[in-house]
Amino acid sequence: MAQPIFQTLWKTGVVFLGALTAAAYLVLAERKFAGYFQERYGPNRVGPFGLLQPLADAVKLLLKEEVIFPQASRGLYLAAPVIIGVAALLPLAVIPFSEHFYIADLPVAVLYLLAVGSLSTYGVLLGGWSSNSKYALLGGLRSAAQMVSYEIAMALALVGVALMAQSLSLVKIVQAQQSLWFLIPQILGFVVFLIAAFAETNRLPFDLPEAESELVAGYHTEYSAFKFAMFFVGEYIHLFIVGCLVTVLYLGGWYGPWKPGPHWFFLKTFLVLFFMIWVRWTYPRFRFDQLMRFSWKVLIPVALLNLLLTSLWMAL
Amino acid sequence: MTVTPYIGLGFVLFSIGLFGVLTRRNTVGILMAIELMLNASNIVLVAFSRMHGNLGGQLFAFFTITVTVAEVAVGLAIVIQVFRLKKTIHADEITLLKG
Amino acid sequence: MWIFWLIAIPLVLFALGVVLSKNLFRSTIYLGATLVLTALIYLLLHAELLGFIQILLYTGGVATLLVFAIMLTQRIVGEDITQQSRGLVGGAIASLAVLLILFFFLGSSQLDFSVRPYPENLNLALGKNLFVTYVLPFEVLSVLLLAAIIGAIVMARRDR
Repeated sequence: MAQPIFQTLWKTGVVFLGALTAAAYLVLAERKFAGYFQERYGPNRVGPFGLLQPLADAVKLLLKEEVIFPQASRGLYLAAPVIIGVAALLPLAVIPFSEHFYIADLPVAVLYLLAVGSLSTYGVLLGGWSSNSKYALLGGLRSAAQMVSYEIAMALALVGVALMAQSLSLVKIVQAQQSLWFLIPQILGFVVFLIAAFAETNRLPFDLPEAESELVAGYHTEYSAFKFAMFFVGEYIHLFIVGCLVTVLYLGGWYGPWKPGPHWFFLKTFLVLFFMIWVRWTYPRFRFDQLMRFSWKVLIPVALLNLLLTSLWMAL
Repeated sequence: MTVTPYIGLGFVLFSIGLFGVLTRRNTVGILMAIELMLNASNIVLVAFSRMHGNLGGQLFAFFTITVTVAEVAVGLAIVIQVFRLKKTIHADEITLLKG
Repeated sequence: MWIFWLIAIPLVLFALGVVLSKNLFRSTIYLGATLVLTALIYLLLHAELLGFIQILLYTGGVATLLVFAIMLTQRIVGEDITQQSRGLVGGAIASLAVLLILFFFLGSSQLDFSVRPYPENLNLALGKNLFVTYVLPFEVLSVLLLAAIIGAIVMARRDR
């Protein structure tokens, strides 16, 4: 577990750069798949098959004008994208990409994930409030209510996994799935976790905090250029991490037939992400009261039932 | 390593919270200052737990956090109800019990 | 030790912000920062589990407080309603006196403040303590939480 400091440093560098690249190409993947789902091509002008599009996007965002309008609360307005970016990157520290490649193997990793995951709520609320705009504020308020409610369901689903693995460490959780993925014994928890993950990443069908047709762009309406890029990249890093987490917690991480290794990990993560993109371009948006009712009256009871069954199973 | 600075930090935070409770007029502000005081007492509890190598202090802090969460929930519910009734959240204007 | 000061000084500054800020929303944000920094202090004291629980529980709590702060003090967009304080001088004198008394006791105590080691497997020991030694308070707490939830719902309901 204890590694030399320089090893931790280069691993951190590789993981963070990797995640940023992954986020950039997730944007491209989303646009491409969206295109195919709607029978058009998607971006295909920059580079072969549009493969250089993320670079072009990044340059465009960096070269745009920075707008800080005088009505905003300057300090908090600038802090919000920073909080979003940091909170998006922090979970990467405990994700095991393969048997030996992880930055840290925390004994309380599951709790750590939930704790840093909840920090992004602050960024969203701050951004929404300090913009001094009604669309942004409404988006921020919606997101606070939504994230707090769905986090409970997510945490309850995670307790089931921790009970099965008898550990809170993600490495041990993956090792416990060597013979049987948790997808099968934890199928209820898996469904709850996946649905809650859609809500936590603010994606359709739960994208009320940034519903274009009602709120322009929700909490980041008033952000431009690099600050907007932080929100945007943060969102896609969050998506990438959710893909990794589903793989680690339910799909057996790096295990697979023939030869276990990181290639299995990334294949599974890609499939999960493809599924999430697919859902986004298929389903319409929930209404806000439906959203809250669904969390409190369906997801949380199902998660509790899953927890009860799991504890009974483990006690026998 | 000694735990003295941690305990001192807890004392400073406690006094700041006390100041808030004494000076705020806003009920939500008072609730937040109480949070601050409970938080300070938690730091001292954990510091003493470290000093004795005994986990009781940590567990007590854990219990305190839970009680605080319950307190905030009930406190905010009372604030809402009072706000509906009196249209104010200033503690010194809430004089319902004076008849 | 310098890590402690790196956390403690902003912590005290944010705490001052909580009680001094004129704007309720800002003081709630400062409260959030205070609670997160306190969690870091717990990490320094080898209370990892407690630190993460602190962040997890309080972010939800503070987020709710924030929403309240907005609802009660702001007309959706426009000027904020400032919150006043009263008796600043008296409050300052009283709390400084308490601080001095506390530090007097700290200075005059005969205790040995050096650190003693924790048990080997900390999380296991914590779990054993929680669910064996202190299982009664734990259960009582769960009843308390249930009562608090019901009480909050009953009181916040509009009509009955």
